[in-house]
Amino acid sequence: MDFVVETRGLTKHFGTRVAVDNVDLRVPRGSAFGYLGPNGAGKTTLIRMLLGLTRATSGDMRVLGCPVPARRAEALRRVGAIVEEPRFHNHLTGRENLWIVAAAREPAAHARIDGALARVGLAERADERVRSYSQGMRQRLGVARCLLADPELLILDEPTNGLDPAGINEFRAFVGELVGEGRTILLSSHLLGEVERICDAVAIVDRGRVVAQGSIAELSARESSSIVIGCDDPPRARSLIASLGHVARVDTEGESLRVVLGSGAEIEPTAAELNRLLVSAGLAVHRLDPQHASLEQTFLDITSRLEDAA
Amino acid sequence: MVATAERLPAVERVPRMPFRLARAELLKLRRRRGLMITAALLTIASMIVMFVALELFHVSNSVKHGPAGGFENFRRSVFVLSQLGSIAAAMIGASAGADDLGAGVFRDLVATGRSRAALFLARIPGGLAVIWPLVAIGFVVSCIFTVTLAGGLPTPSTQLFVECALWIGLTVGLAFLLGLGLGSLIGSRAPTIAILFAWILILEPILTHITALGVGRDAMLSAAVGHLAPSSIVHGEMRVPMTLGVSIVVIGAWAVVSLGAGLWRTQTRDA
Repeated sequence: MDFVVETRGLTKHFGTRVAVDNVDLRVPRGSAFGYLGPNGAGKTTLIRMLLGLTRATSGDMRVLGCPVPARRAEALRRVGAIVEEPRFHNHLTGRENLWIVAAAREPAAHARIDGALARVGLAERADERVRSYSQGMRQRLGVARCLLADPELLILDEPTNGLDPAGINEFRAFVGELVGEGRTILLSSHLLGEVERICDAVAIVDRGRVVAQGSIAELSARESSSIVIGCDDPPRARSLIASLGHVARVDTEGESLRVVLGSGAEIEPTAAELNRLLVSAGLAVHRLDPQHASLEQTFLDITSRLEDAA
Repeated sequence: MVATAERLPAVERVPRMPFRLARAELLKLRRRRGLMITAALLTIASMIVMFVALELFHVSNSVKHGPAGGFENFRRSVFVLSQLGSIAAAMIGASAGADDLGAGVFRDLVATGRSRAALFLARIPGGLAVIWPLVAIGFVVSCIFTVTLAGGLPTPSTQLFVECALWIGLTVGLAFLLGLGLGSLIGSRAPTIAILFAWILILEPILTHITALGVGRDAMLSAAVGHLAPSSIVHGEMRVPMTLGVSIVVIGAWAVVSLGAGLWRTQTRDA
């Protein structure tokens, strides 16, 4: 498989604090890759190292096949990035801000300014000062700035921060379009739902370490699905259900039971089987709620296990 | 709004890399309205105000006040322009050095892969392209008033006009480099300007006039630059005694240290 970002043993210390701890990351070409972790997990620091904004304490990085920082200029030629919130010279217009960044890129970047502005829907207001732009417009201008590189790789750090729901939806659709064009997206976020909706592969990071990495389907499959049941006489129901072979365990949650399925068990047929079992035993079932394993559950389980271990 | 787009270089006329970066710096500074107005007031308006005031004095009482033009008033205007032009240059230098950082755009420029040294060095021609034309206009205004309002007084020779223009260009150029270096080092415009004002307007003149400092005064930039001023416009007692070689070394050292510090910090700071 071809990887646009590869890191090996990447580490960054700030004094005695370890912000990024021995990270091995591989981002497949053409994917929307989520870098998921709670605030303060070291996501932005990793991105800053990839872009040469800060130096790594140790480890190796390759971006688009080029070692960084040794061949940083070549590596970043086809990379667009938004690090934290997009920032601009407020006294300049949107077009002038793009012109300034284009001046630092290859000459062809100048030819992309109008197209980039049109693509993000800012052509009409491109000659207004950025000072008058809303947060959403700034975000779009940030994306336009990325497009000046005609990027093979877009690195987006918490890109929906500060956007309203409509802006978030618009942004998701836009990222989808970019992936559809064969570009790779590396999206860092602490928002599980956002990563799950946008990305097809993910690395989960906690306290500077990558604790899981793979496709969302693979990671979700690591965790068990469950069925929440509400019925008469929960203790009796519990003993009946526990006897089934493909049930891993039964937990009591208030008046309900959570039936955690063993690996390989299919959730919908098992739910039907449980319903038949309980009804035939004379128990009234008033709730039957199949819950597929989600990335959120995986994320919470992994990070809570780490906290327990710590 | 349309005019703004037209002012940007057309795509087919995109210049080579160092020139593109320098033009980007020029654009950033030129569009900073407050800074440009202040710089124009210090360099151009100050000359107009000075000569108009002198002329008004002369018209109101020609016995007590001589003509506004002529050699002596030109001499004064050269020192006023060099001083106020240096202040304007220091402000522009501070902006050139610190604006990208202050706006948070420096990291986006670094993330293009362009070398930090190239980003820093582009600020030099970009900033000088702002301050030198302003000072040149101020100087031309001074020359015009000097000649047209001379009223029979002797006027400077063409050679002296040229020498003074070069000297003022050197003076403000060095002040710009000082502002650029310190702005890049500190990373913030306001403190940089405050420090430079305190240095240019208060500390350096005081230190230069403390004769007890002996050869220590030679290390002052203003003393070294003053030594290179055309001899016919400088009274002997105003000059700190030093050799031409020492003054050149001192000027070079100030320029190298300022730029070196700014370049070093630009290359090493977290963007």
